[in-house]
Amino acid sequence: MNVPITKNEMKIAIIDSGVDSNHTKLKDINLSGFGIKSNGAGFSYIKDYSDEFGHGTAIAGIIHKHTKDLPNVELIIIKIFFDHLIANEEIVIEAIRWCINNDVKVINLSLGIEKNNPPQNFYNVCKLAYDHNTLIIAASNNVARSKHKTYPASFPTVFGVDSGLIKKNKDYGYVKNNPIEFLAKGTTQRVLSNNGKFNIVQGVSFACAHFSGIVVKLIEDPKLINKNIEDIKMALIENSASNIKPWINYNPSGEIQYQITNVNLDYASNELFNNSKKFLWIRNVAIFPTCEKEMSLFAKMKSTSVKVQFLIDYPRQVKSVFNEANEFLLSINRVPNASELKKIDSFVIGYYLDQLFEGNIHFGDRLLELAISNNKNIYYFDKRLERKIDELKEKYNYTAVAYCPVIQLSDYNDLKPFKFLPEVNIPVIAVVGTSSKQGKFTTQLRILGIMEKEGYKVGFLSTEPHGELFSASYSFPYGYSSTVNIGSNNWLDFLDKVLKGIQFYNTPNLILTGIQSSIIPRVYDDHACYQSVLNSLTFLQGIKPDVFICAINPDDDIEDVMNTIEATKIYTGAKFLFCVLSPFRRTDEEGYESHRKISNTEFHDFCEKIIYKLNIPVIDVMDSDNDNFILEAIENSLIELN
Amino acid sequence: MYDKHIKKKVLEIACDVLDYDMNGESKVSETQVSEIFYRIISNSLKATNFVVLIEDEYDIEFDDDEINIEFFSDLKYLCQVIKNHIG
Repeated sequence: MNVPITKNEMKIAIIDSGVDSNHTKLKDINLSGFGIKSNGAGFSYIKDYSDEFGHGTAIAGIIHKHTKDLPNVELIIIKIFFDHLIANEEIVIEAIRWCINNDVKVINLSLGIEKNNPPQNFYNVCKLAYDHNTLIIAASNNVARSKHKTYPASFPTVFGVDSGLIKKNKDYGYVKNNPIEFLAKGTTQRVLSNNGKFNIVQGVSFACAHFSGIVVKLIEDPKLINKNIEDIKMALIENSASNIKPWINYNPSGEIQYQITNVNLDYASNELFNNSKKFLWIRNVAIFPTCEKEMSLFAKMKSTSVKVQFLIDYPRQVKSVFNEANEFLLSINRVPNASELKKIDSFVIGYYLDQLFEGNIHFGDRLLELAISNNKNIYYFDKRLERKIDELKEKYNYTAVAYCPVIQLSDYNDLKPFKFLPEVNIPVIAVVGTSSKQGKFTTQLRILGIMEKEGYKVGFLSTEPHGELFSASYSFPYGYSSTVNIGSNNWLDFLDKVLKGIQFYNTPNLILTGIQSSIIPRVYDDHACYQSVLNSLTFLQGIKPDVFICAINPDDDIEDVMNTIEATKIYTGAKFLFCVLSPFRRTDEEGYESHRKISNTEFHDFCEKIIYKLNIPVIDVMDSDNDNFILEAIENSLIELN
Repeated sequence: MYDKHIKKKVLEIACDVLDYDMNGESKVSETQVSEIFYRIISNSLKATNFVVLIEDEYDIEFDDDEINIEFFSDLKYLCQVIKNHIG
């Protein structure tokens, strides 16, 4: 549609219900317009921009009041409401695109949609406008304490406006740390209406229009030298009135809603989910203590992203959890000597503070000090070591890296912009289990290896503290000695953004993850057990798996297995693929929990029992003969999902 | 006297807009005033008519900044605004 375009004019578009261009208060102003309608195949541009409702006329009248003394302002009316004050999102997007392509400087959108998740196409076009220096000013919603956010007002690339307790048209306020940053006059006021009339109204639509007028005046102010959006915003903030209060209290509890101002997502593309870039500093490692279950994987699995040079264990060894030694790796139970230290750049240090023997804890402390005094990097799991590490850092002027995989509130805030990334539309595979210490992580590593060998790109979200040393894209270590320091009420939101980030930046074919512990309580009077189950349920609901694999133990009752599978299905709607049986049975030797590897016969007997009773496949995930079965089961499920 | 005249006129106009019969009462209580204004602001058409009728009565035009919630809830404020216009 060709609307007369005059050079050097400040074009303001009002996307609304049209305008009564014959209104006495709008005569002799520089105004033009057109309508956009959906025609099934696309859009029709029509000449009609008359106003049947009065809303658009009111908006135009308010903006004109602010800008009437400015010589170069042109109002462009884009009518999208015809039979009622409802239009679909696609028409608004089309209207915004027209504005971008026709050098509109300011777009007034006294409208919005309320949604739980931001609409992606809408976000994209608003970002496009922002990148083209076309300013969108949009209204919040009129409903107090709405459960959902209003878009596009809540997008970071849009100036969102709400009603403030304001008497004068030209006054406005700025609300720091709020998704809707600006307040303007939305209180009782007289506005123009259609058919040459007036109306007494109130509402955020009119606040938005006032703010648009204020912004246009600011842009046309010769004192404003730089006219890009960020500079305009800074000028608006500086000139805002400090005592303006919102008409409706957003959140009676006083909780601050964090402002999403960071639209630069380059940090994520460079580092956040890029394992190889993030851990450039750790290549050759020594592992301590070898007897911990997490550490045995370094000896067993080849899928590490680091090279293990040697293993260190306590001088006084406790019963090893898995008692597996790798004959090809040097294993010592003393502090390493100088030539051994030269072979490594880093130590990987586990939970030695849990040791019952003081001597072993003392040994761990010595090793830690040795690492720091020799400026070796440290990848440690136990956050309790942080203070000791900080003291040693200062003592030895440490300059290397001491890293503990932790999720802090700052991580939660850093990921807030990820809300606007596309929804996850690739399969998510989860490994769940009937208890702890049954090889869920090992199962994930095996699946990772099998899928990657077949050419699949896998986004791996680990819940183990050492996951990132096994090429995980991201770590959420909520299990034993959890280092996830955000409340579980934020997990769903956070995990949604993590998965979006992994999908967007790593472009995998699928995402793989696994829970910690189980989702069915085994003990009914243990709060810690219940909390662990609740955490795993929350995690599961945060990742929303499409398919799952269930790890089981020879100690499990049939009911334990069945309940875990059914509960996972109920909570996630995910499809069950198969069970993997851990070959270790719990024992209690000399007062220590330990594990005994069961015989092949015991293994097969238990598999048969489950298969017979529940008619589900059960396999040994470590047996490479099962690789094809695993691959086919997953591939078939991916086909069904598509 | 002047203020009383404006006040009386405003209330007459308000009752006229609302089709409210004062039953010949010469004095209006504060509660009644509140109710009258509340009814006006509750209906945007009536509120608009109210404003237009006052403007026509005194041959004035209110500024936008003068028409706010107080205009429709505080008789004293409204009378002062009118007085400012008529000098």
